[in-house]
Amino acid sequence: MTDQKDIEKLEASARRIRAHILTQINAAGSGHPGGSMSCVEILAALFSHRAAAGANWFGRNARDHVILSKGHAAPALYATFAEVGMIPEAELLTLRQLGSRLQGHPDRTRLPEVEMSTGSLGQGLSVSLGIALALKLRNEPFYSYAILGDGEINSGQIWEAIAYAGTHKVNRLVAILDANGIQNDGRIEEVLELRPYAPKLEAFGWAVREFDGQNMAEVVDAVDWASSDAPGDKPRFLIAHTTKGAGVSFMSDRADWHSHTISDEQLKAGLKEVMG
Amino acid sequence: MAATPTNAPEGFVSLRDVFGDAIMALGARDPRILMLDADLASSTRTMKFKKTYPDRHYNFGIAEQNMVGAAAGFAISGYIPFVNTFASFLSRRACDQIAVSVAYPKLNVKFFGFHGGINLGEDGATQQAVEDLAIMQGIPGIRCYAPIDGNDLARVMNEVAEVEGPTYVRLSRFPSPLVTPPVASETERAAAFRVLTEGKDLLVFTTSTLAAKVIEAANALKTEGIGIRVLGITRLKPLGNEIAAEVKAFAGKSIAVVEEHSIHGGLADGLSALLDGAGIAHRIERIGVPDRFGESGHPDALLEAFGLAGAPLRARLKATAKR
Repeated sequence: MTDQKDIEKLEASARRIRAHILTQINAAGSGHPGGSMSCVEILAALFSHRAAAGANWFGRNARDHVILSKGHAAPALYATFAEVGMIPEAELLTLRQLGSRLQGHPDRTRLPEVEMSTGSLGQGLSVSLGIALALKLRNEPFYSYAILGDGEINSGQIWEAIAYAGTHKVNRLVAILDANGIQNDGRIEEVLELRPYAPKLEAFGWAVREFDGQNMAEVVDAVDWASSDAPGDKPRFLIAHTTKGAGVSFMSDRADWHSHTISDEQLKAGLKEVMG
Repeated sequence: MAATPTNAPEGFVSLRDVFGDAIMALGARDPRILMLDADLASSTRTMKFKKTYPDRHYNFGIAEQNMVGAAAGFAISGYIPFVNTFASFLSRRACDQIAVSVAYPKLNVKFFGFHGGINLGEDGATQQAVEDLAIMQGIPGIRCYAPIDGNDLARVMNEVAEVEGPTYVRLSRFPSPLVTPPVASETERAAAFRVLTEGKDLLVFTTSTLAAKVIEAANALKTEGIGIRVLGITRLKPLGNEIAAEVKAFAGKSIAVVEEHSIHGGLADGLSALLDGAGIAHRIERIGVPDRFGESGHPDALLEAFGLAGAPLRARLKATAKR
């Protein structure tokens, strides 16, 4: 169990990440607030807690690897980078502008801190799988994490990767599902229902854990479990039950905030809510 | 079906057998090289590699999209994955993964499309690929090759193993005669173009193992007094700028492209773009697969039926020369 003080630090970190997300999308005039806000605790737990990332973290060869497969949550990734000192905070305001390193969806050729270019949904888990296989080939004690959306797992390629990792016991692979229950056009159950997730994933040979994805202590605990020997030789799947637009009441659990502008008034109200 | 000996006529070579030998040599030279298959390892001749380097061979099952994504992960981790499956399944099924997970992030992944063109024969349209080069050439940043014989493939293998970045190599299924000299050294690369026959009446560009059929036609037409200069093109993207000078030297005479590929998006389009860019006026007779899929049949019969070999090809080239 992580110390309560450390959890509080991470919670403060998550608040700042949320504020950065709102500020970025307001400045850009477009973006995906809903799915960015729902994965904040996951990113904070990975970068601030598990990886203890800092300015030079990414330059290290021997380290964990994190792919934001749900690339439309790019503002959350950039905000996390700024929070841990990997990119300057001022750069966040360049999001989506011509020539910016902060592309609408992450681009590793422009911003090397991005592990993988994503945005065409369904592709990141396979890339994380390849990295996990490389970690096993080199016998390195690190993990390869992929953050997925619950709309994203509509894609058949995700299930190809799930089948492979289960068959070949790729236990350096950790998939984290940001299960906010809403995809672009509506609720999961209205578009493509794949729940219940756990029995399906267990049948594919994965070790599965479900938890409240907005509860920092629970997220940290789950990430620690997935990054340990406890699940044995199985790949690990974390189902984080989250809320789309978490942290801001008028965005919360609403499909129309999947892709949305943030007005100056909404920014003001939103910042007040997330920073308290 | 384990690596069965290819039932090839004397002097004919199967590209995949050359591939199978080349990856053994490259694999010994460079421990970063990995083989990735999609349940077609017996067709792609990687079984020997797998036996020698069991840790460096991965079979992803019939799941090409996942295979391409995993290749990206290996490349990020410093490995050089060779991704092997039929040209049709690779280019069509995994197109978006090749574009977004490999080409866009400029990763060092080597794609090998087996059974390109229609010379796979009897298996028919679904396993043939008449559009693979159009798809792969259309994706930014991928170097594309269609070796013209086994010796040429050996040079291409040297080249793709050495150059950084994504590459696509199209291999033909049907064994073909050797029409280029043996590879001279481990460092020899593919030529920008290769003169396959000499002649002054018509300039013909061709690519892939179809080159042998074009040479055959050119030799036959020589006896009728029609001289054809046949240039074999191995690297389709980027095309060597030297090629423009060859066309310039033929100013006022006819040019044809003969390719076992759709007339859209293949060598003819690439050549046309190169000549447009160089400001060289041209009219290219496009001898390729029209806007249609392939079908079942013996490879030689199919190539003739599509006008890419034998009498139909000779007639087309003759008409073009006299244009």
